[in-house]
Amino acid sequence: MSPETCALTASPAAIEHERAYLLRYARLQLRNPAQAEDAVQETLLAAIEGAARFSGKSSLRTWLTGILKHKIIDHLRRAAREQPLTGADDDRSEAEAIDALFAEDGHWREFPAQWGNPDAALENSRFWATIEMCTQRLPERTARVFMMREIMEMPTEEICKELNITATNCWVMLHRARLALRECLERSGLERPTPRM
Amino acid sequence: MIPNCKHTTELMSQGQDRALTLTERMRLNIHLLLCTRCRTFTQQLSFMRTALRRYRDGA
Repeated sequence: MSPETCALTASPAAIEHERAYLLRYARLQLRNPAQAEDAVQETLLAAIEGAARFSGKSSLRTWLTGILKHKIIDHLRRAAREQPLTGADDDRSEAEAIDALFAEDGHWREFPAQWGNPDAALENSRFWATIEMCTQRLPERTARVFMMREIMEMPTEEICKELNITATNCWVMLHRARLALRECLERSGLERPTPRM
Repeated sequence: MIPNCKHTTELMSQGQDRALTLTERMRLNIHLLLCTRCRTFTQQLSFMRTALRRYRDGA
């Protein structure tokens, strides 16, 4: 049974078919394999129980992702209650890491490299390992905000509300995450002498 | 006033998270016109966004 034919009915087989996708999604956000597994398990269960509510208006994947997002938020809340992240990540060292990228007059110390066409890099399996490694290196709080934005695609206002932080704080963290990820990708040899588009 | 690279990267990053004001966009564009490094950074920003979403979607 292909997922396409199941997509309108949300059969258990069709739901199960999306497990790998859901797991990758959850792992990127939660960064904890056991928690990710739990969130996905809860999602699959809720989906199978509530299969009748699947209208078929959106794709099955979209519907399941919607459920998973709620489960992930639940996990984040629970984690915040049980083991609050004390304060910020090492705020000073993160700020210093950014300062180190720029000269005193605010110019780049090193020129950003040409990464070429994403399509070419994305076909390279080594690139996926690199991007996974670089996202895992982000400090915990920074990563949480960044993944809410980039993986869950939440608007900044929602992230602020959920984490009880200001918009400015949110933008600063997102910016730091991007600079750190960029730096890591560049250091890991994304820079290649490919011709420009 | 034309912002420097450090400030420009902040604006570019925020441009991925909120609508920039007209003044901000003008300052940003003037800087980008003059600065290849920040133009490269813009490409890197959209590269990262594309890459992360494709990684998530397993494409």
